Formats: sequence, C-alpha cells, structure tokens
Amino acid sequence: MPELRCPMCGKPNAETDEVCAFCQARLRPLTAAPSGSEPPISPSSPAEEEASDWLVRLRAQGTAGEPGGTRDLSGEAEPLPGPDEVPNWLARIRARGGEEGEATPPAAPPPSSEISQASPPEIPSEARAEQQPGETAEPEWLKRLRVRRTYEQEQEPEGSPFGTPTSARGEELPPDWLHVPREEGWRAPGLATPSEGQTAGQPAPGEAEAPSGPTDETPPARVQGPFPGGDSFSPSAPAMGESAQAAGQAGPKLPRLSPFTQGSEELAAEAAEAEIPEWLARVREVTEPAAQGGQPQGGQEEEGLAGPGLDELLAPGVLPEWLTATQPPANAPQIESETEEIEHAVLPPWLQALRPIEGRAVKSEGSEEERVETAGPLSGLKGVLPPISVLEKVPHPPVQREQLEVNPAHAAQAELLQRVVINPESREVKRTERAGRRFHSWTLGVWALLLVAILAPGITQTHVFARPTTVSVETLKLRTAINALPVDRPILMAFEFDPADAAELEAGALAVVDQLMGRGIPIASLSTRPTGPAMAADVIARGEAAHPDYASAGKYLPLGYLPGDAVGLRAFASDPRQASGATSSSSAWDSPFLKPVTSLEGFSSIIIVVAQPQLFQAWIEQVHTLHPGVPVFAVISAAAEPLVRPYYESDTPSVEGLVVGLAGAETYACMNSANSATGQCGSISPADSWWDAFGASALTAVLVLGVGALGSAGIALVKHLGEKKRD
Amino acid sequence: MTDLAGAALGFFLTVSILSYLIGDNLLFRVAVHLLIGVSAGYIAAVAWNSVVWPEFLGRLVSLSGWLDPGVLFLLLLTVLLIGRSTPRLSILGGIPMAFLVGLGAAVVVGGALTGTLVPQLAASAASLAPFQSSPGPAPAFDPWTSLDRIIILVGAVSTLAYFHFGASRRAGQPPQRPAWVRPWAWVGEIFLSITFGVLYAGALAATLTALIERLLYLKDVLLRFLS
Amino acid sequence: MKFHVSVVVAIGTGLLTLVAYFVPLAPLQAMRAALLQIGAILATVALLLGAGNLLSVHARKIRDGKPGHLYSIFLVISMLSVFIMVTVFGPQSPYSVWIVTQVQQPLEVALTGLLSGVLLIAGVRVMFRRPHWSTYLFFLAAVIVLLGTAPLPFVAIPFLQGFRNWLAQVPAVGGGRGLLLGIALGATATGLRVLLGLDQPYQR
Repeated sequence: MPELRCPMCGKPNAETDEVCAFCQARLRPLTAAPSGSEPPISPSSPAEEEASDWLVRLRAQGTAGEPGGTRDLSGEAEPLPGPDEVPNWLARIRARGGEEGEATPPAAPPPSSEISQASPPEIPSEARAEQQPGETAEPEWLKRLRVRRTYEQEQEPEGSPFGTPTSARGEELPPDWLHVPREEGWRAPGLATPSEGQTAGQPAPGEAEAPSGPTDETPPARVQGPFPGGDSFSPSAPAMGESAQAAGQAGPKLPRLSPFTQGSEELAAEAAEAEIPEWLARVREVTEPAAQGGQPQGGQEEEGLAGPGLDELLAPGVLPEWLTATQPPANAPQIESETEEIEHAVLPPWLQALRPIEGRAVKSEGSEEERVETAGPLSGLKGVLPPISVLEKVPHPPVQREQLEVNPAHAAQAELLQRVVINPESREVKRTERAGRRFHSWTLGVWALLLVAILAPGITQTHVFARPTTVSVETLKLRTAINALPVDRPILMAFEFDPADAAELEAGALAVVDQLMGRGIPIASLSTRPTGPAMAADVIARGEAAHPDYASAGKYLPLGYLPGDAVGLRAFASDPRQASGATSSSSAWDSPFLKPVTSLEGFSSIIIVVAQPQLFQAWIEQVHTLHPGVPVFAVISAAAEPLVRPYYESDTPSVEGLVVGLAGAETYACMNSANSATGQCGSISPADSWWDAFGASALTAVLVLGVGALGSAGIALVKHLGEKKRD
Repeated sequence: MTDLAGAALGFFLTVSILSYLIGDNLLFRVAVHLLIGVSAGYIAAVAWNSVVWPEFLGRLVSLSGWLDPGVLFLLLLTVLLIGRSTPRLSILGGIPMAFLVGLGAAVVVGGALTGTLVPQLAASAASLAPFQSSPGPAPAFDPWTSLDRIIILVGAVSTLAYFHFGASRRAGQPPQRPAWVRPWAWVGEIFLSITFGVLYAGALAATLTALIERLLYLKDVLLRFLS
Repeated sequence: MKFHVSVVVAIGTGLLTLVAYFVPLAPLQAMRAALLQIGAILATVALLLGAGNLLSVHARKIRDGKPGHLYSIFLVISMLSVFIMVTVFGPQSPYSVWIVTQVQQPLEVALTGLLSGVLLIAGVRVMFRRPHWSTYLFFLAAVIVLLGTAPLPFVAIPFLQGFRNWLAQVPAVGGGRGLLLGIALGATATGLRVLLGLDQPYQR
C-alpha cells in the first residue's frame, strides 16, 4: 500500500488518509480558494469540521445581505439577501426609513467626506457587480461607494430623506449621529440649496437635533467652497447614510453647527477658503450650477449621486488626483535618501570593536513575504517561517581574530617550536659514542697517580708509613669484651656484606676471628645475604688455617642463610631455631655448642660484620630490641661510620664496640700480634700488607683534592675580583 | 691446581674490569654479564637449597606438609604470586604482595620506633645532662664532654631543621622558610657538610682499599707466574 | 581509599604484627612468628621468581637475536652452570665457595675499586662547579679524616689524629643522629600510611 509521509512529523500514513494519524496535521495541503469560487473542500475530521463551521457561519453572514462575512475580505460580491433572509435589524431600519420617507423627500447622499468619516457601508454584491469595467482603476473605497449607492437607491423606500441606514458588517445599527441631519445649509452636490423660506435650525422631521453650534434664525451662510461656482458649504451637512433630499426641494432646516456658518458672508467666505479643500470646492462648482439652474441639473446631479452625481464626482478633474489615484502620483515628490545627504561617520577603533558580529543574511529561496506555505495546517498562508532545513543553512558568523600581543621572547620561542616541528632533523638527538670512550687527560692523570701510589710501596718494598700507635676507645672495648667472653658459650657472628665489600671488611673480620679462635670461642655464623655464608666460610677457613686446633674442635657452627631481611631477623630473634631452619638437614643446631641454645640469650654476644648502615640498623632494631641483654659489637666499613657511631655514642649504647675500616682492622691486628722486629702486625689479616699502599693512596687523594680546592678557590677569587673591578 | 686456575681466572676477570679505564670494551661487557649470571645463579641456588625446598616444597612431598595450615597458606600465596603474570589470576596477584608489604611495614614501624627513635631521642635528651655516669660514687663532670654533648644535640636538632622545607608565601617576595627556622637550618648545613665529608672520606677509603686489594692481587699473581 | 581484598590483607597482617611488638601475649606472639616465617619464605620465593625472570629475558634476547645477545649467552651459561653446581653441591660446599671467592668476588671488588677513582674525580669536579663555602667545608672535613685515618710518611701528627677522631665523634655524630631521626620518622610515617591503607604500593 503506498504511503504518504506527513509533512509535519514525517511519519508514514495511508494514502487515503486526510489527516495524519500521529500529529493530526493535514496530509494534503489546502489550496487557497480563488475569488468568487466556492468554499474549499469540506473537512473530513471533527476538528476540521469545527473549523469549517465558523467559516461557514462567517460566510453565511455575508450571504443574507448583511454586511460582513468573509466575502467582504475576499472582495467577493455579496449576494443580495432574499426577502426571507432579511434580518430583523435591517427590517427595522427599513421600516424607520419608510416612515421618514413619508415626511421628507429622500435626501441627497452625503458628500464623500462624510462618507469617508463614517464606517463604510456594506455594499451588496449585486450593486458591487454593477461596477463598470472601466472603473477597475478606481480605488477600492470608491468602488464600494458606488456600489453602495446603487444598492441604496434600489432598496430605498418612497422617500426617506436620509435613506435606509445601514450598519457596517452586520453589526449594530450605526450610531445616531450618522442619522442626524446636518446643519442647515449643507447640501450635497446636486441638491438644491435650502430656500430662504426654510427656517434655519428647524430639524428635519424624525431627526434629532445636531449637536453643538448655536442655533441661529438666520439661514446659514453660504461658505465658499473649493468647487467651482462657489458653493454654500456647511460643515454640518447631514451624515452619511442620510438620504439626500430630493432635488429642488427645500431641505429641512438644519441647525447651525459651527461658526463657519455664522457671520458675514465675507467671513464665511474667508473661512471657507481656508477650510474647504480645493477638491471639495471643485466638486461644488460642478454641482452648484446644476443646483442653481434648477431641476434638470439637479436632477441630473441627483441621478448622478446614486449614479449621475457620483459620476460627476468621479469625473476626471473634479476630485483631486490623490483621491482617485490608485498609485502614487508620478510627479510625487520623492523623499531623498538621507544617507546621500548625511555623511558617513568614521567610527573610532574602539567603537568598531564593539560592533556586533554581523552574520551573513540568509538567502532563502524566496522572500518570506512572497512564500506561500503549501503543506500542513498553515498551507495557503503567507509569511510562514521557513522550514528547519532552510534555517539550518544559516552559517555561523565569521570568527573574528583577536590581535595578540607578542613580545620578542615569545616570538623567538614560537619560531623555535615551529622549526623543531617542521624540521625532523632537529628532533634527532645525537647519540654519544659508547664504544671507545676516552677519559679526559686530567682524569687519566689522577688514575695514573693512584696506580703509582698503590703499586710503588709494594714494588719498592718500602714501609715508610707508620703503623697506628693509638687505639680508639671503641676498638679497645671490643677487644676487651671478647677477652672477657666465656669460651663455652658460642658467639653469633653475622657476615652481612657482599663480595664487593670483602676487601675492607675481611681484614677487620679476620682480625676479630683471629682473636676469637685464639681464645677458642665457638663461632656461629649467620647471614641475611645469599653470599654471606660463602663469605663467612672463606673467613673462617682462613682463620682456621692459622688455628688448626680450632677447626678440629668443630667450633665453627654455620647457621646458613636467613631469608627475609628485617622480617627474617625478627623471626630469628623470636625463634632462632625455627627461623634458621632447625628442622632442615643442617647439623649446626645439633652441635653440643648449640644444643643448649634455645633463644638468642644463649649466645654470649653478637658481632655484626657489615658495610651498609641499613643492615646494621636492621639488626639493632629487630634483634637487639628484643634481646637487649646480649651485647652487640660491629666491624664496619669506614663509609658507614657516621651513621653507626650514633648508636655507640650514647649513655645506653646499642653497640658496645666498633672496628672501623682498614685502620681499625690494622689496629686490631696489631693488638693481636705485633712483630717488633719487622714492625708488622697481625698474622692472618691482610690489613698490614695493604697499609703502605693505603697510606700512599690516601695521601694521593688528599693531594688531588687539595689541588682541586686551591684551583677552584683561585678561579672563584679571580672572578670575584674581576666583578669587583667592573663594578 | 685449583688455586692456580682460580688465580688465573681472578687475574683475567680483574683485568677485564679494570680495562674500563681505557674505555668501554668487549672484555668489560663480558665480565659484567658474567658477574650478573654468576650472582643470579648463586642467589637462586641458595634460595632454593636453603629455603624453598627444605621449608616449603620439600614438605609437600610428605603428607604431613599438606596438613600444615601454614604450608597450605604459603602454597596459596605462592600460586597467586606466580599467577600475577597471567591474565586470569592477575586480579588476585596483589594479595601476596599486600601480605609482604603489610608485614614489612609493621616490622619497619615497630623497629624504627623501638630501635632508633626512642634510643636516639633518649641519647639526645641525655646530652643536656651536665653530669655523666661514672664508675665512682659521684657523677663525673667533664666540661669538654658536656660541650661535646651539647654540640651533638645542636647538630641533631639543626640537621632536622635543615630538612624543614615548609615555606610561607608573601606578597612580592619569594617563598622563604619561617624566620626561626632559618638560623637553625644554616647551622644544620654546617653539620651536614661535616657529616657528609666524613662519609665521603670513608667511602673513598673503602674503595681505595678495594682497589689496593685488586692491584696487589694482580701484582702477586703476575709475580707468581713470572717467577 | 580503594577497597580491595589486598587492602584488607595488608592492613590485617600489619596490624597483627605491630600489636605483637607491644603486647606480650603468647598466642599473639605465636601468630606473629608464623606470619614472619611465612613472609620470609614468600620473599625468598619472590627472589627465585626474579631470577627466573632474568633468565627468561635473556633467553628471549638470544632467541630473537637482538643486539647484545652474545653477552646474554655468557650470562645464561654462567647462571645455569652456577645454579646447577651450587644446587648439587650445596651453598657451603668448597665448590660453591670457590665460585664466590674466585669468580664473583674479584669481579665485584674490581668494580668497587673503580669507584675510588670515580669518587676522586667527581669530588674535584664538584669543587669547580659549585665553589660554595659548604663545598669547601665538606672537602676540608674529608681531607682531615683521610689524613687522620691514613698514616703520614715518616712523621706522625697526633693532633691530626685526635682532631680527626673529634670530628668523627662529635659533629659527625650530631649530623648522623639528625639523619637517623629523620630516616626513622620517615620510615614510621610511610609504614603507618601503608598500615592505614592510605598507600597501596601492592596495587597495580
């Protein structure tokens, strides 16, 4: 089944539908009804039916001869109402007009000025249809006037002086002032001037008195009008709708209404000249000779009003051009553009910056005024907003660039960035050559000095560097404490260093092990480093080499590797057997020296051989805090001294003795054994063999640092003096 | 023989490392990679031989190991740790690490409080006491010792003040430390310079000792081979 | 704070261990000892996994033929051979000790020896780059300690050694104590942050 898309919501509907099932909009546009055609297709939906009902009623109002209805708007000729369709109000007017017509002759129709002042009468369609084709160039109101006159002449009863009053658009009866006879003396063109016998101020029968204006017994002065032939114009002419008096008949005496009609004729003439427009005067000139001439002309004029009078009015040259012209006069003065005269102002920059952004005008397919909607309920109407598709074409207003203030530094940086982005070569970072890297000459000189200083004493076999003669307090304390240890209780020795630190620490460890083995104290070794047991085994092996009986006694008790660093130490401090793997195959704990040991309290002391201060700290924090009664000693590297010594320098020290670096190892070795003849100290510690090389290299280092300090200080001083001179 | 082989090997390896003085070369890189391999292999072997097999996996061989809740818990954590690299178990891979981190944090906190903070603070406070303990009945008073203690106390406090980097901003001025901190920080800089100087000297001495040991070793081996 | 099972495990384990530091209850101590033991073994398992990862990385490098894979061959061969030897003979066997003392120790000590020249050259460079009073004080203290530690040829200056000892025992101890206090405070704060769940380094 073919579908029909709703023009409003876009949803599909059946082709036979008139109204959209979703939004109730018409699926087919309503075509605009041409002039005189029948009303459009009756609606099929209730809403449409309701809408059409008022339309029908509106139109029906015009069909009964009542003024009003859509036909008036569309310019259709209204059909004359039939005798059965005359509304009550119209009948009343006619009736009244009939009564008035018996007393007074039909009055001439009022002039066009009064006609224009009052609401326009409803001209029947038939009367309107009598408009001659030649009158299409006439203005619309004039056409209506002509048709109305025709209608009134037809509908007018016997002799209503004022004709049948009509109401505009079927509304209420026109107000009474429309029926009030004007001041005496006014005569519509074609009408006879009131005779002198006519008493001024006497209103016409059936008419109310005209307001304002003192009454005067004298007949109204004749005011010179603009029309040729002069005229006697009285502004108090009878209102529109009043039937004109019969030609030649004396009109009713109308009351004086204004000062224009009073006074001398000259005054009146002057006033008339000042007040009466020219075109009206011309109208009077046309009509006055007819009125003065008697009947024929008046009759002719009279006939022309309903027909002939109006024709004379509409004759060319009578009415001014602007009244009859449908288009503006050709020689009308043109209002010149003010822009041509007024000079364009030069806007200052600050004012120009304030101007709003002017967007480009939307060029629609047709002007909105000319565009007639063809779909939806607004079909047939003009001036409807264009659809969204057109609106969407509205371009965005142009973006105004702001002027940035760029200083030279910013510009340089921006240029640099641009160069980096554009030029890929600039992004490449030159890789330094790794292979064959050479040292600077002065660094090679330092290395050479060091090598010479280290090798020279050994090569030359010179011993120019004196052995240490003073022993530090902390080293002496360790030696004293070991000398006081019981020989049946093992000592725990922690080898907490890597092979990298073996050179310095093995010298001190060997010196201490030498003393321990010399006293026959069992040594239980432990390490939290994986290579610790191997280092311990090497040290012990070298010590046992110097003390063979110690090895045979089986006093070396390797407890192996303790995993977990600080966690393992805490576990070991809590339960040494379980932490060090007592359940494993290790036989150390089965040794008679370790069998009575169930906790750390079973060890006589703990000697920590450590290079890094963090490991020493871990032993103090995890082990010593749990067993403060077990004395702790340490063999440390010279690099760890500043961070280990605070544990010693205290009233309640955590560590009771220290051997620091190679110097401490040499001192300890010298305390162990000293050969007075050769001056050598120690038996197994290599510290003594390195002592001269150590001294020479240390002196070389001091020399290099001193030269560097002097050089840098000199350069700084020269710079400072130079800056001072410049200042 | 083994001693000679070891000596030769040690000689070769030492020369390889010291060849860096003339620049990065093949020998040096081979020696470094050898060092890494040997260290890693030894560490893995010690870990396996000393801990993992006897304390963990070896116990699972027997039934009693499966009845131990600690072993089972350890097995679960190990599986999660291994599964950390797999997509399925990676979500739960944080549990064993969380266990280790929590345990380590507690150990560190407890040890720092009881092993360092309290003793060091007590030692600093004791520096204010003019009299020191002595073996005799009367407490000893040594002015130089007292002065040393005061210097130690001032050094400790000023060093802590030097690491106070809180600064307040003022209009038109760069951020600065509080006025009462600035003199203490200046004194602390003095103490820190001395402390780090001592540290530098100690490190220099330790490394010189290592260089001495190696060079003299080379000399001895050369002389042995030459003789 | 992101809620996760890991957070609960970390906080629970840590609080239990920390409380046992201060509360000497037997069950608490026993539980803490068990946790510590499990933690130590788990850390060793992690160490083993790290070694395995190193092996796999270099094995992949050899397989893919990436630059430097020849050096990786040395690494893999040495690693596997040492592992096999130490596993077979034991960590404290003479063969294992030989590997450490004859292979590992020379290499590591030589590398440490190279550091001495590097330290010396770096010290000279610092003096030229930063000629500040604190720099000169730094090197003055270093020189005094070196001169007091190492003997002088032909002469012995007691004042020098005494001054060196005073320098290492008084001002250096003051500075060292301040450093230790700061390190302990920082470690405590960091540990408490982990125990309170504010820091979660175990989360990915």
